[in-house]
Amino acid sequence: MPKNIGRFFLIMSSIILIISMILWIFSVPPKEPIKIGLMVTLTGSSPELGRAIRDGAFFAVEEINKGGGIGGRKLSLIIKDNQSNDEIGKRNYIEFLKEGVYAVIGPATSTRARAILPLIDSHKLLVISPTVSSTEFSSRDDFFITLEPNNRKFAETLGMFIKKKIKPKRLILTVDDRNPVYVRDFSENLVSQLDKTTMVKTLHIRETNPDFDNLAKATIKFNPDFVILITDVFNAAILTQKIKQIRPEMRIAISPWARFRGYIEYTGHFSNGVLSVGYYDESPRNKKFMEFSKNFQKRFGYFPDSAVIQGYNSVLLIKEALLKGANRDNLRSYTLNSSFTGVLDDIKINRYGDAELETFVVIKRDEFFEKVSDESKI
Amino acid sequence: MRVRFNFKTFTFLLLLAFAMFLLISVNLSIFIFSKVFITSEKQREYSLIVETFHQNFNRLIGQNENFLFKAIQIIVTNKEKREIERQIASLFELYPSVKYLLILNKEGYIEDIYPFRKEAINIYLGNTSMYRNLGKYSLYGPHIFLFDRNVYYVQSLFFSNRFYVILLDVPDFNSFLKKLRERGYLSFVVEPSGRIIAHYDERLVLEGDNIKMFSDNFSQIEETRIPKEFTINGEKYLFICKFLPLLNNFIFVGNEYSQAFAGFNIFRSQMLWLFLITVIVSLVISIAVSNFMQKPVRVLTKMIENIRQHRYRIEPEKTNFVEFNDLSENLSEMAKTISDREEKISKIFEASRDAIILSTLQGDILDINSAGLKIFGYTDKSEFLKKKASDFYYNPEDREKFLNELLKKGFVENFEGKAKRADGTYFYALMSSSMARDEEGKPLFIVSFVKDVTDRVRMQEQLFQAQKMESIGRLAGSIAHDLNNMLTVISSNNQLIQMYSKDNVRVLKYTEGISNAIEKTKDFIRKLLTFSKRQVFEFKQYDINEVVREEVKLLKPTLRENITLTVEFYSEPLYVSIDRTQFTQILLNLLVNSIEAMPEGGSIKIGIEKKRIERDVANLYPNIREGDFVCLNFSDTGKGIPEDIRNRIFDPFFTTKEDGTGLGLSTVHSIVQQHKGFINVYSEVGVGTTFKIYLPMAERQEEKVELKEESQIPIIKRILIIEDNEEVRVAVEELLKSYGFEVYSISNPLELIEQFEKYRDKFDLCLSDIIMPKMSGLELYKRLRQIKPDIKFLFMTGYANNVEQVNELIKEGLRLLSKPFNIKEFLEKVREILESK
Repeated sequence: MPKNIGRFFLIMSSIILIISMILWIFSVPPKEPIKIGLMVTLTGSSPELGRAIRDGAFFAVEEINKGGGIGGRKLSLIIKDNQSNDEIGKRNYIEFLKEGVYAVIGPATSTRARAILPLIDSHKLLVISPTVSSTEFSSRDDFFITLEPNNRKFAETLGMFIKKKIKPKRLILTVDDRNPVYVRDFSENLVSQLDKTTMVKTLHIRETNPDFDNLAKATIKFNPDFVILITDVFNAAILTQKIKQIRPEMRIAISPWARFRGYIEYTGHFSNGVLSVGYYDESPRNKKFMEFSKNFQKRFGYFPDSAVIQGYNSVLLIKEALLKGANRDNLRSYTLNSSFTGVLDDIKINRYGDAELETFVVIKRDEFFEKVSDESKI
Repeated sequence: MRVRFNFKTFTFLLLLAFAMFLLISVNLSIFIFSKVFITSEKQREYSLIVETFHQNFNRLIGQNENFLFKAIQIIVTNKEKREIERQIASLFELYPSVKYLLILNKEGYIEDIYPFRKEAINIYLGNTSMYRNLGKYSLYGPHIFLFDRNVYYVQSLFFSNRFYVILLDVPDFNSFLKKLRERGYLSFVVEPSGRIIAHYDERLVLEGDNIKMFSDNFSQIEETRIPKEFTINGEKYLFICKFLPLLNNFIFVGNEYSQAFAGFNIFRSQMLWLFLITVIVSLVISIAVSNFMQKPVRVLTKMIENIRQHRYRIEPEKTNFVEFNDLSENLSEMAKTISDREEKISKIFEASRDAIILSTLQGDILDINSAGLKIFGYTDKSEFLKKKASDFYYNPEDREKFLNELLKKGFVENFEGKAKRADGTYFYALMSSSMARDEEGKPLFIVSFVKDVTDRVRMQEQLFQAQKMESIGRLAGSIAHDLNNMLTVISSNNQLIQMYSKDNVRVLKYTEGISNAIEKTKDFIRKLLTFSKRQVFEFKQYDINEVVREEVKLLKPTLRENITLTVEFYSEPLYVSIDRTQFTQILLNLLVNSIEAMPEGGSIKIGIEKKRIERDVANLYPNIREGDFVCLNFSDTGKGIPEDIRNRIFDPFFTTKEDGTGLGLSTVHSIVQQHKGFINVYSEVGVGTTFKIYLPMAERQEEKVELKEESQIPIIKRILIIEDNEEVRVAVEELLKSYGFEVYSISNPLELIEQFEKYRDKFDLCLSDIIMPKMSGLELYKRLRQIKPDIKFLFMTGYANNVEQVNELIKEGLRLLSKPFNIKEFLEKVREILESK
């Protein structure tokens, strides 16, 4: 009996030892994930943009991790809510510094971006904004990357189109004073493209719940050939409805600030023919977009807009740089003067960190914004 | 490979294994049981919560419907707008979760809104998801309200072609989930797409999070039959998921895993403690049990160790176990048996007079008995054991021959060779060996029995020498007999010539030459007869010390100045029966040899010892009897005798000298043998030679002093010659007649007996040959003495075939005359005969 038990012990010990050795040899300790910060407004005023960016970025991270990550390392998206508050935004940025993220995606708006820009300049943690488009952030040699074409470019494209195709004589420019940087940037660049003979009247939205009826009446009273709404989705939707209910034939354009799914949802048929400016075509003609849209809807249950796409692109930009050998300290140098394959097109980043995307005028038809070609009827 | 444990470790491992088995099996069974039981229990709990949620939800819907009903009633029954607003405002106060009441027409335009907002009137909501879901679900959302941009849940009622829609505050909707959280339950409601619409952590709702973002487990939102494990941010949870048809959403209810299985975890913790306690108890018990059990084992081990150390006097020890006690007694008996057997073997080993050697095939010496050490000349056994077997072979090739035979046959019998002693000298060894093998037939060791047979070999050499000498002696005797007869004829005739030619100087001169030649020939024949033992000795008892002392006095003057001679006498008289003349011859011959062996000088040493020769040694020599012997050591420091000729030095006519006769040492050897002794020689080239002469000791006999009476010597005139050889008979007859004797002669003794009466008074003396064809001279004497008792006999002989017979003849007082003889010798013997009478 002792002999058998001795053999049993020996065999069991050997098996355990061998299994332990095999596990020890083949079990590679999980690599530290690559942390990416995301700070947008998720709660409070106008959270939709931030949520879309978040979902787009998350979708990209999820897809990359499913494919094995980058160099065997998973991506980890750390999400922080700015709560429409500059101080919270700054705090989030500092926290990301401490947490050792490679880069930060966000913020969604120019106002939030301006608040943290000094921190970015001093701490030099790369920030990639998917949707900030104020011109002031362009052509700056800094650690702030912008994927959205800047306002000037949008404005100039739209302005030139209006001048060329609409040729208005009287134009109403309804601007939202809650985002003065954007409004001024966009409106000035747009107007600069118009014919000098065009009479431009500017109406101001100065509060959260303005008197839309009065604004509509004031617009009609001026008897404009064309109305441009430089405000968010909700104001733009209400004003569009109000103006169209009074004068259905009124030609309206909205700035990219309002060019989202919400605008279409809240305006319905009232927004048909409304012009805007963008850099991709949402119509079924764009197969890449349709494919992406299908996958995204399946995952998140709603139609992706440009914020989703740029959130997704932000992650793709970081991935491309890392694949080229970038690390946390030199990520910026790998992104500047580079190009990467975005969701819809190849995107080039210039030496200032600005995405060089072709902008064009889009028109709302049915349930999407369609690219306006030279042959399109507007 | 066999694993070996000591008893303590084995007991501990056994108990530990048992404890582990117990722990694992109990833990596993409890785990399985607990898991099934707890999961089942949780399923009931969660289902109950879902049901409660459902009931609460239905109650909420019912409350909201009440609001709608009441609001519709207010609107329908009141025509005054202000009154309607007032009453609905009151209604809002009763239903705080309701924030807005919208009245939409079928196209989706806002017809009215409470609290009233002017800018909302006529706003189209027909493209919103809120509008599209109207009527599909009792309660749904959340949706952002366009005008205040807040998130609300929606409930509606279609009445009178209008949709009465209320917007509900989200925090109120979450209150139920919050209360559940306070009770330890986690719950949330998600859309089929994963969007969180209600959560115990309201922040997630406000952020518009999607549950799919938190875990891959939520990639497919679907009902679960039983609670399932979900991992969120590395933490494990247990959730059940149920579909809420009224909402078209899913509700998750569950707990943190640790909380869900808290009872099991406590139990598992207790089991861990139980395991630790079991291990400690196992350790303690194993030590106690093994100590208790090990005690008798230790006792037995000690007994076995004693046996192994050859300490056999062990008494059985008593323990608490009968089996061990039996074993202990058996061991004690076994030790005794081994002790007896080993003692016997040891005694056999040590009692042997031969060497017993245990060695390996490689030549390592394992053991040797005392006799062996003595034979090989060692006093320290360890010194011997350091040697290799091959070191003891005088001729290395013998070792090879020995091993070949041993390996071929498995034993070696009576292998004879020279073996080396400790001092480098050798001895003749007779060796018998056999191989001891184990059960598998592999060689263990070689057992060798070695006997020192040097003496036997030497004896054999001497026997061979004696036999050789015997043969030569017989030949020499035969020659001497005939030669003496012829010399007798020559001598007799020569004497006659001399007598008849007294005046002829020339003849006298020539016959004198013949006489000299006859004397030399006689001397030569005498020597020849001496080593051939045909010489007749006259033995008398002497103290060897005295004889040697006297001989040395005579011999010393012959030594050269550069040679010293020392003698060590024995402390007491040692009597031997010797022929003094022959003994002198021995010493003289040895001395001559030693002088010649020391041309550059040296020393001669003569020692006298008393030795006892046992039967086994005596048996090795012919004619030697056991008893006390005088040993005369004659040593010189000469050049020694080379080994290759050592066994030939006693051969007659063997000489290394140019002018030697080769009879010196052979004569010595012969004389010694005829004294019933033996001689050994020890020689080393360049060192010297020692002759050891052994002579049997004689009992001291008082000398009989015979007083000779002065009497007149009778005159002998008539002589009867009995001689078978006619020529001798005639020559002697003529010689005696010429000297005045009256001589009768007869050739046949039988004829004399028959005609004795005829001769009876015709002779005074019979001169008879000893050896005759038909009757010996002695026999004739005995027969005639019976007839005539006073008859006088003088025997003549050329040699004696039977010396003992002749000696007996001499002992009886008869006289013997050696052929050839002259008349003077004859007259001397006649005188002796007459005197003896």
